[in-house]
Amino acid sequence: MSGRPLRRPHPPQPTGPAGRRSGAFLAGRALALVGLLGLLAGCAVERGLGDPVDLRVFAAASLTEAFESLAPDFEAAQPGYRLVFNFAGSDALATQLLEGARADVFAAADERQMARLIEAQLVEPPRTFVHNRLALITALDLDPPLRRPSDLSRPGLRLVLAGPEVPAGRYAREALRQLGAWPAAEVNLVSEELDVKGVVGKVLLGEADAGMVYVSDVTPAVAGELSTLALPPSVSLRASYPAARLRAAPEPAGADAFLDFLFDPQAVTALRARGFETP
Amino acid sequence: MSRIGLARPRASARRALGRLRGEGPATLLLLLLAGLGLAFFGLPILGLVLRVPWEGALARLTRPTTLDALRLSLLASLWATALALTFGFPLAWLLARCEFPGRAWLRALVMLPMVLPPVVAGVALLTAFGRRGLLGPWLSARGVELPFSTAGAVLAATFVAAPFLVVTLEAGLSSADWRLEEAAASLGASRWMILRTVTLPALRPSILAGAALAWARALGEFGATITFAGNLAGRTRTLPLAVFQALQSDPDAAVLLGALLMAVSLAVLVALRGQLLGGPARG
Repeated sequence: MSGRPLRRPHPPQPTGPAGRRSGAFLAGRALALVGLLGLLAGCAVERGLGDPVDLRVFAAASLTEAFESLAPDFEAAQPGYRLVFNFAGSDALATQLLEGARADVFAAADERQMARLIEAQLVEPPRTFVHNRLALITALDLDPPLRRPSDLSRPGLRLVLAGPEVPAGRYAREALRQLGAWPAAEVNLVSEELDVKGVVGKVLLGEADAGMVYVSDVTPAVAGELSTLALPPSVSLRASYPAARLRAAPEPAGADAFLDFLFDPQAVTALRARGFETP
Repeated sequence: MSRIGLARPRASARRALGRLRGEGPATLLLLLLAGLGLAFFGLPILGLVLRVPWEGALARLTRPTTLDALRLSLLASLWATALALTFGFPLAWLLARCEFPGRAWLRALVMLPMVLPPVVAGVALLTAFGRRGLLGPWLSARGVELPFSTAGAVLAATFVAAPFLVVTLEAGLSSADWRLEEAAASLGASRWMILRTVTLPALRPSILAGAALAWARALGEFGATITFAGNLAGRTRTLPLAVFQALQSDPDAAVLLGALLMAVSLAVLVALRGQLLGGPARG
């Protein structure tokens, strides 16, 4: 991995003397144009001394709202950095990072996906910063409403879960098993979404009747459009979210600042308000 | 230069070289850029092919889930092509041969799925045919549920792929010589007969090219499918969805499936190269 800075001001490109023949002239002009475009592209990302540096955070889809709401606080506390998020299923993010994607921080919804990166020696030791419990969501107009987990296997109900590779999907199946509703409910499974937000979307759109998501996914924005059933305390399952700095982080100091910030009382309060449990 | 003669590559290469000597840096620049373009298209393909895990490939490819995905992909894309032909031909004919107010708008509407992000296409399909969509109640009263069904996957593929056929056919219809049809009519041929013996044979290259493009687009369809039809093995998980899913758990399988998808598409595109390059026959 090269230690080349991400952005480097492009030096003005000297263009050679224009040729005498028309072809050379045309080529010269075209080259000049290419050079000019390169310069423009360089200008577009070039930054002055006081501008913040991008801090790239790859985070589980279930962290979307929480991290976005935390961003202004972090940026106010650390004016040198601007957060750039990449939200997706933790499995997809881990794959991207294993394929060489450049990032400063990885925050996963599950220890397995972090373990893939630890094994590949791509990350520093992670810290678990939140836990998340599961909730059953149903469409508001579901008739008759869902009363008990075994209702999930009633004929004609459309159940949507995240795929079994996605942490949310794996936890959901495990929770349903603990509730005694799995594998009976599998006959009603109509789609395996690529991440947990896909499950929320399908239920919100009214195409699916029920889905299993994290408590934190029932955000204020969607809470009014869904019915949420908290799982009974007998379901011991909770997801752990580890976060770590990438070894090849372009901004290691910023990455550490962000990781520390996640344990800051201000962040902890915000994460709790979003339905997460903090250690 | 009326036509680029790709039929005889050697002769054309020699001619191109001869021409090169006569021309200056402009040609060289064009060649350089073309070479860069080729590298841009070629490198990812090469990367994929080099990554293919040949060991155990057969076992991976013959897994029931893979075969299911392949079967579904072929089924959905072929149905989509058939539907595109059925409804696309009359649409192309309407656009090419009939003057009416708002034709430009209609054409834009028909082409819209080509430029819409496929996920948006999927949401649009939901708003029309989903449970809460415009036709949802009417459909479900008749026991038809399109989302999460194979029929839904076909619909999604048709929506994004049909415009490619319509556009190609319209170009073919516009450039075909309609005087031949008039001549046939003057000789007493019925409309049906004209269509069968004059119009369709003249359009053969456009039909083939359009169908191939639509089929290839349908085969690669991902966003509209996952949004509208969901992702369930054996029902709506087509090859592109299977590739995406495998990427998370078994990247080797994803590469292999991707290569399979590519090989199938490439085979069809090469088989139809004459039609695709030649374009619609000119009067």
